[in-house]
Amino acid sequence: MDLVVQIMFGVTGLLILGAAFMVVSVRNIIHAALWLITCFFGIAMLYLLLQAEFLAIVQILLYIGAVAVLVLFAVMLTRQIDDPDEPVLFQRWRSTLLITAILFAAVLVPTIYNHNWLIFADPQPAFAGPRELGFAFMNAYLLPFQIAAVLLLAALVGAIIIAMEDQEQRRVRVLTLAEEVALRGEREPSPPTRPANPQPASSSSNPTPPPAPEQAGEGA
Amino acid sequence: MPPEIVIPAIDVRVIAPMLTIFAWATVLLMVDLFMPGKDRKLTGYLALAGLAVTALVTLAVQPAPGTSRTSFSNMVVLDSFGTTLTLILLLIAAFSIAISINYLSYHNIEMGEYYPLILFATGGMILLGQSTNLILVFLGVELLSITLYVLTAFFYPRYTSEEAGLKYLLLGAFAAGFLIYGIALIYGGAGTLDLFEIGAFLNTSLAVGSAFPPGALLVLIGGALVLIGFCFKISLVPFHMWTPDVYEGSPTPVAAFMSVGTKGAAFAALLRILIVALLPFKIYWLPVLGVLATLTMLFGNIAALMQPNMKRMLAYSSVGHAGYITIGIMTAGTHGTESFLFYLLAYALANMGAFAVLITLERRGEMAWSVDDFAGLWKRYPLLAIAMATFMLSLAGVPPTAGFFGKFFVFAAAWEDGQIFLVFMGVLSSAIAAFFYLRVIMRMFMDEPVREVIPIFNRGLTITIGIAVVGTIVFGLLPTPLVSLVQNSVIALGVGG
Amino acid sequence: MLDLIWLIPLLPFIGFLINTLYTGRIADVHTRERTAGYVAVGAVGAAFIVALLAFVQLGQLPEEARLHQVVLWTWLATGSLNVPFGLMLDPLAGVMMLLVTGVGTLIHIYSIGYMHGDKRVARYFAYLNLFITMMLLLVMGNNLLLLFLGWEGVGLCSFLLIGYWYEKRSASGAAVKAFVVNRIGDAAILLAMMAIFFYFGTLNFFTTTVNGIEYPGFIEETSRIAGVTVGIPGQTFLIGTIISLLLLIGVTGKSAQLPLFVWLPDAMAGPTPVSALIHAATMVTAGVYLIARTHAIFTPTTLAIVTWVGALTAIIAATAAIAQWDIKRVLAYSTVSQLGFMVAAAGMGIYVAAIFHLLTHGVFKALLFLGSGSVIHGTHETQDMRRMGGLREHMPTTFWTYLIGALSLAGIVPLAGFWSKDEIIAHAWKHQGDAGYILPVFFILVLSSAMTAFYMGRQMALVFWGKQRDHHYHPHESPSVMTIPLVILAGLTVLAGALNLPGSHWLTDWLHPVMREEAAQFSIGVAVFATLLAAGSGYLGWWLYAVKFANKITVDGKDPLYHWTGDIWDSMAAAWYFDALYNSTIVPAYRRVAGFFAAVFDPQGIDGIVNGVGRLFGRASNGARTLQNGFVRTYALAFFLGVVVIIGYLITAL
Repeated sequence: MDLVVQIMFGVTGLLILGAAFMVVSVRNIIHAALWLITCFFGIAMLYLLLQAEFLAIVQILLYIGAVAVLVLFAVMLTRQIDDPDEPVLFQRWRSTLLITAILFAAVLVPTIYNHNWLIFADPQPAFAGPRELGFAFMNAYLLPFQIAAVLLLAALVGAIIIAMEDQEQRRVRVLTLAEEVALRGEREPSPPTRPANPQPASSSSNPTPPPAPEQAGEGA
Repeated sequence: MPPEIVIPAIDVRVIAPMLTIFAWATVLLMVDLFMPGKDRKLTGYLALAGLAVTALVTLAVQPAPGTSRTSFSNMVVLDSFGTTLTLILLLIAAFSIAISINYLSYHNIEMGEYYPLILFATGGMILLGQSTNLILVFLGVELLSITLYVLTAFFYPRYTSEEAGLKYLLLGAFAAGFLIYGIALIYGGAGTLDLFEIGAFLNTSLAVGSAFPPGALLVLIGGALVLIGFCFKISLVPFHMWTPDVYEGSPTPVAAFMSVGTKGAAFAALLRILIVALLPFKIYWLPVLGVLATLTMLFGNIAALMQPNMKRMLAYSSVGHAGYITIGIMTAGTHGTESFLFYLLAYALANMGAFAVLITLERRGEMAWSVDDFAGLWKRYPLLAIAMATFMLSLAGVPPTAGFFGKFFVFAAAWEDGQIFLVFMGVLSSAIAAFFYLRVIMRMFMDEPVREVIPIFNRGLTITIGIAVVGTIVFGLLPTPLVSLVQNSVIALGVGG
Repeated sequence: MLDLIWLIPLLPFIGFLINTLYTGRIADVHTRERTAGYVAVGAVGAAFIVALLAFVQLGQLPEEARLHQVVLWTWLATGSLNVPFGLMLDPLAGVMMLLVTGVGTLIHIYSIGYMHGDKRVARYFAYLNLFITMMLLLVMGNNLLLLFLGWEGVGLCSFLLIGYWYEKRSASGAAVKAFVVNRIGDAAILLAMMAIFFYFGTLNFFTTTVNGIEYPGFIEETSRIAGVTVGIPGQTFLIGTIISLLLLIGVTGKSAQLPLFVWLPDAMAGPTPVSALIHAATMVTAGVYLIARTHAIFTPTTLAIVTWVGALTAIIAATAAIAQWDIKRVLAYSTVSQLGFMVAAAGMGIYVAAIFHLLTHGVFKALLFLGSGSVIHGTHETQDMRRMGGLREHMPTTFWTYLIGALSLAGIVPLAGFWSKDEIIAHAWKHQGDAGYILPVFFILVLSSAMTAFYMGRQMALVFWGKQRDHHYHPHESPSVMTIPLVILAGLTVLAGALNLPGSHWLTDWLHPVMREEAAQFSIGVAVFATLLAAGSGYLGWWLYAVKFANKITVDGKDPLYHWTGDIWDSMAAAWYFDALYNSTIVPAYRRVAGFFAAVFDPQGIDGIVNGVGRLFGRASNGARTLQNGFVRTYALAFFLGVVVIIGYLITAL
């Protein structure tokens, strides 16, 4: 059995590494996102091998069901991001690689060196199975559980507001009073009897075009 | 074995204020959906009613001074500190909604969800003030932050608003990372997230021997990271840099709400963490906070000096005030709690008022909150000018305004605690600060108008400004009732009792 | 009546409210002007009458009972601190209150004439009334906090009134300067207050009974800090010294003493009645009042410093006054100089003499300022004395009253100024053995007083003698609403010396419950010497400018004495370059720091005034880029650096 597990572990590990490499190397960004999903799947499999079923399910639900989909949505909403002329590797990639490799090694090497490799020790009694988690949520952590629900509701409402596309309103700069007056004058060509300015309140203030909003914070 | 879930005994009174406000917000979301027409003012009024109901509930469950109730596995506590803070926060939220009602329609950004979001954020603030468990603290911070990210970006016709929202989101997430990492380290060190238990753990483990135990070390580093997470929320230098940009981009009522509400709630949570859990580490966090407070007071006030943009000026001024409040927090344990609450209320009145005046002068489609618009205000709108002058004097700490007593209490508490250097820096920086507050007064009273400015008045703005002026002056002349209120607001130092 | 003393500050406040809320809205210009004036004068006049009645009643009490406190409400009650919003009337507060309301009333009346035709006159009178209210709170407050409220309040009113003619560029600049300089002093007072609260647990001056509970006063309990020291290793200070030094810094701000006196000459940009009321008679004397009130705290160390500050201010300002051309700046420097006399007197421990000089100076300096206002008014806003000359024929009332004021300031028998100044100088002479510094101070004061006579002689000669040197205007006498206050003040100037004549020393007796001082010894020798010196130098000043060099004075010309003195004269004219010193060191440093912050940390926030500085630093920091540049990565970097520093500190601190 150990051998089967070890072979499966090796295959999964290779799958994860390969998928991760593909994420950063493919040119098409949607493909990259799909490779990321593959990578997440591999990690879920690792959890299964470690007998952490619940964690594996959560991994699939959260990372594939939510995070990856979010990434895909973001990618598809952002246009013109896959410019074919853009080089995959930027100029100083070698030095970058060196620095990251050193940093990575600085963390990893001591960890590997100091670790007590007891991989297949006796399985511990389940520490945090779904059952225990459920009990905890209904007992000790009842309030955080509820508050998290409120938090999600607020986040959802917020997301809808941010994302709501209203063609009528969105991205139309709100006009200043003087601009509105000018616009009205254009639309309905003024008869000669009509006073030059229908709104005397603004007439004295703005003979010149009003400042564009970009000029915020002009000097005193 | 059939699962048998036993829900522990719950004291609903403990969470009654936030329960009310969350429930109201959720129902209001629904009500808003079925409300006909485009006019959303009614939602705003209903939200105000919700705040009033919450205030009544809070008063009803208010414990006697010195006593407290806990529930939900000791995760939340209802003590007089929490209820006083809740009342102040509700007042701030009510001000924010009152000044929003016409603002939104005037600027063509009216959406009914605005008000429930404010209520959610207020609920998060109340939670922050009451929680005694780091998990809940984190949830409170996130609830507050996420709603505020959205509210910051609420002014969707403006690109700057969206930019501000994104900036706030990115940096907020960055800060939240430190916060949650710190919480994890504390859990790793102390084995608990309960503030009382952390305090007890530190007391026992530090008492054992001369060596610094590793568990305590983890708690120390974790505590520092939690502190940093809060420093972002309360914008202490150098974690303050988002403040002017975000305030400038967000809708003005939201900036007002953030400048006092978020600060107040985050300070309250920090205060509780510092004196309940981390008091044994006072020798470590005291110098850190002292340096941060000094930097903040100096930097905030100096940076505000040259601001021609009133909104940015108020943003920097709020950074400076965070420094003063930090002094109050640092002396927690002696009179810090009282001075913090008093300062918060005084600052809330003056700052909300100043933002409200700013809103009256804000013109549709323009983004310049120039100090020039205040020039010659006395001549045209003397009452508005006097109101603004009152707020500026209160922010500068000139008697007989509430702001003076806020500073006085904070400095007196610090002096009593032996932090004479901080008092000195505080007084010095407030002398610097007087300059730019005064400049506004000077422009209003000693200048000809630069351009025609027609203030917009409506009921919400007028009432807010009126209450803020009256409050600022009355609490300056008669602070005693308020002082006895905050003196009775005690932080529960143990479970029950 | 004594229980009604709260009416005294309330009445001007009501005047302020009426003039703010109601009068400003009257459409008709003439009605508005008249209403504003009548309301303001009525309010202050009524306050004066109430004050007078209360004063008389206070006098009828037995000497030891002359301390009446009226607690209106509990201002502040925390566990350890109880501060009532209470007013008190004791002999010291009584005389101050009479000075404020009395001189205040006359100046209000005068203002009706002086401000005639001004379009914002309702605002002017509102500010003036508010000032009187605040000044009364300052002198009548029964605790340090209320005094501080008045202290800040008068500063604010002074700021508003200096900048009243804001069309003049100099006016708003002077207003800001006055306020900022004063804020330095105020910060020190705030610190002193903290310290007093910390060491005494109270801010009340005297024991106060509120709701049947007695709250102690710190002045009666100074023994509690006797011998208490604080300090850094190697150097300890008496806590009394620290507190009194902080108070002294506040005094140097408000009472225009070294090194913070620079704002007062500039403050003359305000309307002249304001200069008379605020910057001569009342507000600037608040510092002297504060020393007198809290003198129990002052330690010998501080008193020596106080004496030196006063004496040096007296001589520096006196030399500066000699070399001025502006009629009001002469008086302004003269005020600084006379305040120096008062502060020096307080430093030598003769508080009665300080208060005596304060009172007489308040009267005759108000007279001089109002007289100069009358001159300015009659010569169509001319302030340069080179453009005047020969005005005594055109403005006889102004001339005669001004002459009385000038002689009094110069210290000529038997006018008020002689008696009060002589008391200070005689004391210094008699007590030269008390401490090593008394004798030099005596000589400095005598020299200053000779200079005082000299510049007043010069001013009289330049303004009233000789021939009119500029014919662009037709001088005329001011209306009677302005000259009547002059005459009244001139009368008071003649009589005010009687307050504390040697032999009767009424003021010493009156203030005895507060000061516990023996009557000053009169020295006929010093008196004769001082009078002869004053008369001699006064005559010299007059003779030089009215006879000897009368023809050498030209419009925009140099002073005849410049020929012999040269650079010294320039230094005197520039008040020994204190202003320039601040302008070249502190102000640019401050601007640069602020501009630096604006340019480097927030490029959006560059003010037009400092554009140059901003650009300079913009260029300097071009390579380094700016910090508040709107990029999230920069913010995150600053954030992260903060994290590194804090965690690093904690790890090293373990």
